[in-house]
Amino acid sequence: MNRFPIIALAVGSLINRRLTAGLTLFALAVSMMLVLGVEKVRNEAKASFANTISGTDLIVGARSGSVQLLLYSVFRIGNATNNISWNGYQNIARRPGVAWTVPLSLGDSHRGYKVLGTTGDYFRHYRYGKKRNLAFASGQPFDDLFDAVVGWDVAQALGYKEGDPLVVAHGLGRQGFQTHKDKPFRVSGILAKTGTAVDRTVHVSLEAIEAIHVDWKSGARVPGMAVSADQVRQMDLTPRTVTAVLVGTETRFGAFGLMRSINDYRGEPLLAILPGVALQELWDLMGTAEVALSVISVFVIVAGLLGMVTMLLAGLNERRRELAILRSVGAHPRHLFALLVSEAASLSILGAILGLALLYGVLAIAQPILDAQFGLYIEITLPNRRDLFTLGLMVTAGIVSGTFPAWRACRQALADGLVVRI
Amino acid sequence: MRGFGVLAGTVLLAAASTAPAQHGPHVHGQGELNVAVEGDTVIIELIAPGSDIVGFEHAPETDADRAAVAAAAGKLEDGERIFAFPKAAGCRLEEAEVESELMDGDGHGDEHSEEHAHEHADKHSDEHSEEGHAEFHAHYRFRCSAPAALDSVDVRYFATFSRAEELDARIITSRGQGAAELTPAAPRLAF
Repeated sequence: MNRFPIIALAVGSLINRRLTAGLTLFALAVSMMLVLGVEKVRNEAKASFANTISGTDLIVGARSGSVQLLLYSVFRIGNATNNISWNGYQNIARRPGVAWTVPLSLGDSHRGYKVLGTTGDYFRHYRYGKKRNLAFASGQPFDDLFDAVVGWDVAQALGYKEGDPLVVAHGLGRQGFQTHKDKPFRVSGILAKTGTAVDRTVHVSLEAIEAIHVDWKSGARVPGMAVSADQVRQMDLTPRTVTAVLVGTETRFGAFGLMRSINDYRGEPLLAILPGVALQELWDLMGTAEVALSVISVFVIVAGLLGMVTMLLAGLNERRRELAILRSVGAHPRHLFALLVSEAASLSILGAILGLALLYGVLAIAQPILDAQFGLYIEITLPNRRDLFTLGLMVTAGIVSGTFPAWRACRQALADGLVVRI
Repeated sequence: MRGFGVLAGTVLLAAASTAPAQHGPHVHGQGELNVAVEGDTVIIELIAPGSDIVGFEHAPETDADRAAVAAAAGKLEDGERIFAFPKAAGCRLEEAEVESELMDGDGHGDEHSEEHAHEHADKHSDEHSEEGHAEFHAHYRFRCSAPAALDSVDVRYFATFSRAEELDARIITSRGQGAAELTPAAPRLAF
């Protein structure tokens, strides 16, 4: 008896027990999918975060924590505790060694999307991924006071086209409870998809942020002080505060000295951070959660393999006769061993393939949802070497755990199955 | 929210003139290492508490104290001994400068330097002598003949200064920014 018929026999036997074998296979596939999926989401989340900002040497905000500053200035997560005065911003911009600055002003929203006040330099200096500049899918940067540039997701979700009107809500009110509808904006441009928080942002000029707030005080409209959109154009719209500043330095090393001098600035409590370092701090914070996820995936695999071993062991009792007949027609115990191991191997390999298929199926369904709901863009790529290694390891573990029922099968005596016990 | 921001900004403006001086953290056993790679040049800045380098942070009182400070500054200045780059990168120390309020007056730091960067050190001297924590500031500039081979640097600082326990390292290269915690057990900074 050569090895090939044993595999055929193993597959045939599995097909014969298709319900239990099928369920075991499914359990294995699900556990493999979970392990690969957890790894995938972990890596993609990391990459997605790391790709959000590049080419910016420093981020400056009011003094808080570096991770908090990074989160609200770049990821639009959370809010600033304080703003920087316009003078403070000017002071930073004029420092030696500063190549460019982009002021950011946050606080308003448009139908759930954050509104960012900035300058035209934002479109020149903001970079993401591998130092890619922002590109316009259509239109151009804001030119008029009431021009707005919307991110790709905003345009898709709200159906905006170039030239459409847009009303900014005060604060974060998704219901548009208090709106700046007396001063509507016009969509002047739509940014191409970046896979970052930029896609979910409405960009207007700093002056526009100031303009829509001239007749507001302490978070409410001042009665009888309505200033029309035309009147506001005649006013001095120099911003009083900005939320954060992106800074580019002339030299890389200059970033260290500039960071220290901004942090030591006595005029105002400021915090300058290296975005790449803050990003790493953020990941270090999440390190524990990452380890927990990895541990869970390992246990998921262990549970899947235990299920398979249980099925094979339980099957041994039912298959006493089958195995005994095989023995009686000349099968050596090592053939029975090979048969059982082949069953485990077939289940593991099929489980791996089905697991991969399930993973890509789930990713295809989940991708747009994760992107829209959490801003987590998961790129669907072919399995990388690490994934294949993981799969290989799991298949090997499956085959190895198959040796236990196989060893039991060998030990069952020929007579054991043929003699009908009373 | 926005209104609050404006309000807070105004309050801040009013308070600006009386903003308290900020005090940087000073942790014994823990230094700071800043590394920037620009083309074929590697610029390194090492800031270490006096206690890590010589074991004390008061102004040197005895001849032994002064000798210890001078010896430590000499060791710090030997950049090629403190930083080991991959051989293939062919990095040579071009400039090293060590400053510390502990050695004020003896002018030691100037001996080997071509360029002077005193603004920093002076400012820090003022700040830290007030707080009674003296630090060593060392600046190094390396030039590498094959910068493509720069993938890491072994920081031998811990071998030279046994009191040092940790360096908070930050690095900026063409690939971006990064941070690492260097310890005697893990003294390698990956680029």
